[in-house]
Amino acid sequence: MFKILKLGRFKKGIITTKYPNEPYRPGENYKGMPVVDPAHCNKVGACAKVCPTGAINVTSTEVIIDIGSCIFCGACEKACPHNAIKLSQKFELSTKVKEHLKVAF
Amino acid sequence: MGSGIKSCDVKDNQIFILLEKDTFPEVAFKIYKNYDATLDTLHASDEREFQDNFRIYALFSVKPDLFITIATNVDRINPSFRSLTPQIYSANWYEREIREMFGIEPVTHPDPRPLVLYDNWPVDFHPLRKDVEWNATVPSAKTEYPFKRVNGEGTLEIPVGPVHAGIIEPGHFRFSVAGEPIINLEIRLGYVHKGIEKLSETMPYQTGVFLAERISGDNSFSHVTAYCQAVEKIANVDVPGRAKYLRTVFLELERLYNLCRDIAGIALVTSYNVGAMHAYIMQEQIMQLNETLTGSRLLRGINSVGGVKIDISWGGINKIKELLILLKREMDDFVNLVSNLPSLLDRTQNTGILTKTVARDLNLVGPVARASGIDRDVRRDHPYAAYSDLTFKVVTQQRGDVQGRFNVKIGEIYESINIIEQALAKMPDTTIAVEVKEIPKGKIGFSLVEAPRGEAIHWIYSGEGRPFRHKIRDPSFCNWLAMEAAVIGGAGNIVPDFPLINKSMNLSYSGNDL
Repeated sequence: MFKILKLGRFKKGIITTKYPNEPYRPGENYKGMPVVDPAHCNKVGACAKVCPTGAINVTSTEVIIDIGSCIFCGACEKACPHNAIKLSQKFELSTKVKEHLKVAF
Repeated sequence: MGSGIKSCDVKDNQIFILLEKDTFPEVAFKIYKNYDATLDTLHASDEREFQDNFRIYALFSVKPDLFITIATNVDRINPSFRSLTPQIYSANWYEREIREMFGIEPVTHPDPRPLVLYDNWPVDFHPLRKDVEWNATVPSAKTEYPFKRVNGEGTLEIPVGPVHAGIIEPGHFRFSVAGEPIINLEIRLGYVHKGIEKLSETMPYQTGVFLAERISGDNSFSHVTAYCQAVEKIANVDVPGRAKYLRTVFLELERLYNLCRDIAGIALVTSYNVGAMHAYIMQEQIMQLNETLTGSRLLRGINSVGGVKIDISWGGINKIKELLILLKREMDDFVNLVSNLPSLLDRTQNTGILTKTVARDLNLVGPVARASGIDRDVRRDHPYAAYSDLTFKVVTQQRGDVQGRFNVKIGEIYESINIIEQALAKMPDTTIAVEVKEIPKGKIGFSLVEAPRGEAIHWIYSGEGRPFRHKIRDPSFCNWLAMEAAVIGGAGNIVPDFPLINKSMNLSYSGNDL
């Protein structure tokens, strides 16, 4: 009788996604590329201090993040006093030129 | 106090005994034999800067929940100690590791060849000594690893690796064959030695957490839990109840996706692709759940010293419960498919047999050991996180072949589902982390965590805000020798059996080559 309860032939549907032909949307908690909101950033450098890999460099005018060194841990997000840095949903970060991994905000 | 004992210290369930060098092997053997103890780690520490000596530690665990550490000092000039390997075979690789990393000679070791470092390392360069800088440049030397050779008419050598057909990690396998049957197999690892233990000594605890997550990619959460628990023991901190339960849930989610991939691998190597895809779908669903819950498919960035950083919301708990119900049915389906399939049973039964004696002598861990009839599971024997509050069965098999390991892994998936359901139902409503203010210097803390492949051990001797010595033992370090034993022993395994035996254990190269 319990055999009926098994999924068996009722297992239908498509499990694969059409990526990259259709965009993939990660979940809301997804830890992707860190993005700085220049309007809120006061260049205090709290993020650079806590970054375990030293991927963030804060100067008086801009914040430079080395995506190649970033481990997407989210320490910067927690440390920022102005909520200016956030891990975004962006995950397509590959590039052919290493320098392009350094992003300035 | 008997003769030869310098000092003895008992704290909770831990006994620490400092011995004279001469009595070290005898005492080790007595503990090993009389108490049916397991040798968990054997490692050295360079303590020349404050006590003028090297020191060797051996950690034994005894059922129920007792740990015995014995230590002895080793002179700084011409350092050597009497090898334990002739009496306790599982000390073999540990001693070879000590020999290379510290230059301490295990006298009377039956096989003193290099082990952990790659061939072009100079013989007198010992990276874990304190007088070597962590970023020192290693001079290149020309050495060749002396493989054991099988000579005779009709015997051939087949070298495989270090670069393999699939995108997997590097390791070299040297088969000696006579026709199809394998006469001898030697495994050479160390191609991805990263110096993790040395690196950890330079990293403050807060950063070390991230390093621990990256020791072995798919056992991320187990390693970081072991690291955090070891540091918490040093700081004498008790993490809040909810953090313990959350750790348990994440540990089991990690085990689930690992085991689903393992059974898929076994089905795939026997060319049963339909079954393999069923299991791969389950693995993917769990990993996508991980991403939804925590933002990381491999459960990274969750753990910290003192608790966890991410809580699971009410909605998240429901998502887990939904998936678990689905998984149970999918697993029933999978078991239905594979349990009577002649093409799969024909390949898995009596292939790669590991007897209980071999498993005991090599100190195998995890599902591989349990498939050979060793009833050992750290979750039950030395409970951590919330495991002492939960009831679960330790799945064992007596067969010791690929089929046995396959069945143990299937059984453990059901048990994992059961554990997560219990943990979610009992989850207390407390904070998820406490602040750890001071981590004292000069203390030893260690933690055993049952990772999907077996027990992962982190042993830390604390220094100034960072570990002074951090010994990591990945389960694969114990189980690689089992691969040699399984391929050679038993009923004449042939070359095509090797991929199957390999998949049934599914060991980590990265965790072994620290």
